[in-house]
Amino acid sequence: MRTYDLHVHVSPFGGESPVDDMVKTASHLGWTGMALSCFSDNVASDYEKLVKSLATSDFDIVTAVEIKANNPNELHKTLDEVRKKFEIVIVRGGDSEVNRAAVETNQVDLLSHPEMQRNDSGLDLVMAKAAADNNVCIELNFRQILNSFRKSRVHTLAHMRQNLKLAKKYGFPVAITSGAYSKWELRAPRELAAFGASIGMDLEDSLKSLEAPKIDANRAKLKGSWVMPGVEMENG
Amino acid sequence: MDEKLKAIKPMIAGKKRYLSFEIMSESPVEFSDFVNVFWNSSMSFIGELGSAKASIWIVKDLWDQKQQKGVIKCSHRFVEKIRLVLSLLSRIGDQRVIVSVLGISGTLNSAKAKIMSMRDLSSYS
Repeated sequence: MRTYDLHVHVSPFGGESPVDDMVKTASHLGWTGMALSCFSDNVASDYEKLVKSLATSDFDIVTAVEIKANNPNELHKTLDEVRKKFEIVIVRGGDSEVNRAAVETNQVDLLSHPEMQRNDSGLDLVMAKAAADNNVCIELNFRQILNSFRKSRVHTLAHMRQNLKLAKKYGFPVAITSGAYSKWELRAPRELAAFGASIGMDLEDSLKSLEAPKIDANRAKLKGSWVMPGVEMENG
Repeated sequence: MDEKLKAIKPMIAGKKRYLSFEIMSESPVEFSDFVNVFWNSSMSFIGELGSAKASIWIVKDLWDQKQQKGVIKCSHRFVEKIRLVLSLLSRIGDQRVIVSVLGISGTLNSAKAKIMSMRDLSSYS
């Protein structure tokens, strides 16, 4: 089974641990690959070159960008700029308007922690339907649990459980990620699956959520061979 | 003098599983420190009643200080939760750690085999 951690930050792109340390640890933990995210407001010119140079035959590297938008207009503007440059586009959730705008476009791959710093789960029925229609993954970010304690951890878990109930009802995809900023925040794929299973997912669904099928589809789109869903041009 | 109690049949005692785990850290951690942090995490995450139902037992004799590997015995119904409790350990003492499960087995002998056959972490920082 291929497993991808879709939300990881490394130094010098906003994280704490150097890229090679992060890759070594993830590889040791059993990941097939991971998406090294940078922030949309600070994309280094050498990002893609540096990230791709780290990929080996045993470990796959995916280019990803995390958009921090204050409002839907800003989000759409940034999406137009970055969508054709990165394999995975992540939108930082939390603000209800941004959450809604993110699930209402099929240009977004992953809505990150929609429940962050909120008193609710960040998603309602309309957003859940839109996420399912546009195939936008909703993230369960393990870092939100790892770095919180007592009351805040309880509330975050409750909100994640609420989102999982919506996922079961409306069928939008869920992605479990480590959300790591340091190599010490990475966890093995099976541990993240256990996290999903413990908060209300079936273990099988939980394992499937680590497979990240969007990567292959997005790579085909970026190559230019993609025409429409199910139709691709052959080379030559 | 206390008499030794007769062993309870597995059907009544419940099925058990052995989780072999490894701790990755910058320098070796002590077993007693790990035990304290594990129980704190277990109490806070699954609670006293949950921990009791999970029948947790950290097997002291199988702790390998050099390789930083050990075995935890628990009820077969709580394997995923104990796995999660282990992955929620982020610090032991002053050190940042990653605890990952190497394998799960139904008998102590196969748990030992899993620990003995695992990779050497000496190159790991």
